[in-house]
Amino acid sequence: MKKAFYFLPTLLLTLSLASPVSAQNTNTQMHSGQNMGESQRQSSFEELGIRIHDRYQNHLRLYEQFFTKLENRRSLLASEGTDTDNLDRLVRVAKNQFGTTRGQVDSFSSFLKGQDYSGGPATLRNQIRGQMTQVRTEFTRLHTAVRQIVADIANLSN
Amino acid sequence: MEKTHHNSTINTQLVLSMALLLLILSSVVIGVAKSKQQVQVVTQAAPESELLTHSDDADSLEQDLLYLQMDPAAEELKVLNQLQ
Repeated sequence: MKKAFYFLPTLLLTLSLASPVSAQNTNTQMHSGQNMGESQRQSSFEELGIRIHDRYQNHLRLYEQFFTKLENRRSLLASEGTDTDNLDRLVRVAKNQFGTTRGQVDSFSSFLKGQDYSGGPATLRNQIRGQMTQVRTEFTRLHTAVRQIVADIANLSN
Repeated sequence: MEKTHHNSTINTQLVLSMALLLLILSSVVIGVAKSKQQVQVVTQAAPESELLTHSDDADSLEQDLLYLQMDPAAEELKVLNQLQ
């Protein structure tokens, strides 16, 4: 009787604490294991997608800062009486490309919002990679455009 | 004598139960800590957007150009390729 008096409360306490744990473990391992694993995977893809989008947004901000620098140089050259017509044209081209690039980053954001992440990992990887390739293509064009501006500024400065 | 043996059995069972309880609690704590760590790896904040240089002389523009040429999501692409 005394044995039960000591043992039962301890056992009940152990079981009451263990039950949510065992339920959680079952979630991870058994039938919910699939759902849990799947939802964890979906969440990982989603988080990564958001992080990639943040990177692109940051990169766009860097380009904005760079445009400010280029504008300062252009103003300096113009104030010295240098003909900046070609430079102005290049800046317009680059700014158009900046708009296109930003549009592509926005498309990436829309893709993330519309994505249900129900596909398998290979499908999700391919979809995100496809989107990233499109964004990178536009960033490469933008880089080419600003490189031409820097080259023209160097020519005009010499 | 019998009473001492009886008490000793109860004490052993009590100690074993408490050990089991501690084991379960520690596994829960470790599990929660690990899952938090995993999420932190994925949701690590992106760095502040700053150009390499704060000048607009020719050399600085060239340096910034090199920096801008880098793929901003190169690390994330590596993670994506490994994600299962």
